[in-house]
Parts: sequence; C-alpha cells; structure tokens
Amino acid sequence: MHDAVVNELESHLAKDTVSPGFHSHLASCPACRAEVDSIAEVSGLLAELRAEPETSPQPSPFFYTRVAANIVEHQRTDHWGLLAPGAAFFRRVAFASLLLLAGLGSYLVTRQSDSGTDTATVLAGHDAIAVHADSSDRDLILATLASYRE
Amino acid sequence: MDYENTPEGALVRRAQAGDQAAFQEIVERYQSKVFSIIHGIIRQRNDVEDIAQQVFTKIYFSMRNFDFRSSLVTWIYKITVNECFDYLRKKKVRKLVYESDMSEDEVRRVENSESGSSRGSRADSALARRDYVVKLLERVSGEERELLMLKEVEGYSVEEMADRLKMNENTIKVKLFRARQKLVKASQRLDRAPVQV
Repeated sequence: MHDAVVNELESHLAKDTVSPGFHSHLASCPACRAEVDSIAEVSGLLAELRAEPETSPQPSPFFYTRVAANIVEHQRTDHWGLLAPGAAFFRRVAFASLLLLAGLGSYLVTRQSDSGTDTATVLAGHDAIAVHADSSDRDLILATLASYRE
Repeated sequence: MDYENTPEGALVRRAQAGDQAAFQEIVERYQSKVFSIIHGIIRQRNDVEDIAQQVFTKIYFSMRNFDFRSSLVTWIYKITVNECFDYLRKKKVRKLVYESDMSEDEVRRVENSESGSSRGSRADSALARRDYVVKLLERVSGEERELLMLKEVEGYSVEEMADRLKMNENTIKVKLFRARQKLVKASQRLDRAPVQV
C-alpha cells in the first residue's frame, strides 16, 4: 500500500475527514482500494468485542475479599512450591546427587577390580594369610614366594 | 502534568510500597471496567469473576514492575486482555486433550457438528462472530492485539493512544496498519481452512 494511504488510513477507518488526495488515489489505484476495503471489513469485525455495560456482570461486594484470599493462596503456594518435590531446585539437587553417586560407585568398582594385581598387594595378601595359617599352609606360601622370586 | 505526579500516580506508589488500602482502592476503582472487558471478550458470565480475580492477583504481584510509562488503566487493560487470551488458549488445549481421548469417528462427529453449526450461524449469531474475531486476534502479537483492541474496541483515537502509550503518532499508525494487514491475512487463511470459525 502506498504511504499516502497508510498515513490517512486510520482517519478513513474512523470516518474522520481525509484529504481529497486520499480518495483520488484510491480511485486510481485498484491495489490500494482492494487492500483498504479488506482492512475495513476485517477491522469492523472487532466491534464484536466491545463491552456492553448493560449485559456485563457486575462485581459482587465481596470481590476484593476474594481477590485478597486468592493473593494469600498464591503466596502460600509459592512458599510451599519451593519445598515441593517437583520444584526445579530440588530436582536439580536430586539429579546432581545421582550423578555423584554414580561417579563414586564407578570409581569404587574400578578401584576394587584394580586392587590385587600389583606384586606388593599379592605379597601383602599372602603375608596376611600367613599369620593365621598353619604350618602346611606356611610351606605352600613359601613355595609360592620362591617361585615368584625365580 | 507527569502521570507519576498525579493523584493516581501517588496511589500506585503507595500500592507499590505495600499499602494494602491503596491496592484495595485500585481494585475497587477498576473492577467494573475489568469485568466489562472480560465479558466483552469471553461472553461467559460464569468465568468472568474467576478471570478478574486472576487479573487483580497478577496486578498485585507485578505492581512493583509498573514503571509509569503508560497510565494505570492502559496497563490494567493490557493485563486483562492477555489473561483473557491465555484463558481461551488453555480452554482450547483442554479441549484438544479431551478430544485426544476420543476415537477418530467421535472427533470427526464433534468437528462436523461444530463447523456446521458455526458456518450456518455466522451471519446471524453474535457469538459465532465473536469466536471468529477471537481466532483472528490470536494470530497477531500481544502488542498488536492491544493496539487493535484499544483502537477498535475501546474507541481511542490515534492521538489518545500515542499519549497513553507514550509513543509517536506515526509509530502507532504504522503498527496499526501492520496489525490490520495481519488480520486480513489471518482472515483469508481461516476462510480457506476446511473448518471455519
């Protein structure tokens, strides 16, 4: 649409006075005329939403009391909402705890499977058993130790 | 005079500082206006008070954010219109959830009965025309909706809107023009759609 029409469109729609140039432009420009007609038709529909004071319900004398109660209810919900299990903060804490547990668990499992593979640990294990073992076991341990040294 | 220094500006300042009596005065001053705006859009008497309560609850909690860039009534108007469209959107979602529990045949039957009755009654039913307008307004931005409503529903002139919204008159004209173009496009799309209104 041409600028000249855009500038005066609101006055035209409000049925206020517009410049003679506006009408002469519409008469000579079918594109602008068609667009102005479509806009006027659709804009006119908005009048459907105009309030009708005579049919509109009126607030009861207790309306403010109800609003105040609604506000208190919202405040209470907000306070409890912080502690609710579904609250985002607590969900994040729970998720972080799970991640920490999973990490710690996998670390412990790895450590467990690693332990006992190095020489010092094998020997220490044998020594610990040796203290409580009887003489025949002690011989077996000595044989193991001798074979290890070879 | 600067709006902030008017008696209403002082009332807002008191409400912002936590003065309950000031907030009560604001509610009592604008409750009828809010009821009438909601009824104009929703047209369901039973829901008007619930939505109005939500509106004033929102006003209470966002009162501190009111920055005097527009007048209080314009700000309340904006919140009220947004709340109405939120309500209509939620209602539509609820309807979709309800329909998702139906069989395809049941959904088709409901849609056919709705579209048939709406098409037939659009010419003479104010309710159907209102639904159509609401559908058009759902397709523009919140700001465009507010401008269109202030102009076409509340009947403000461009000068009054510029004054209330603290905007240049030409800016208002251009924004309104774009919003109206979007409405026309939305209307053409709705009219082409198989289920109208």
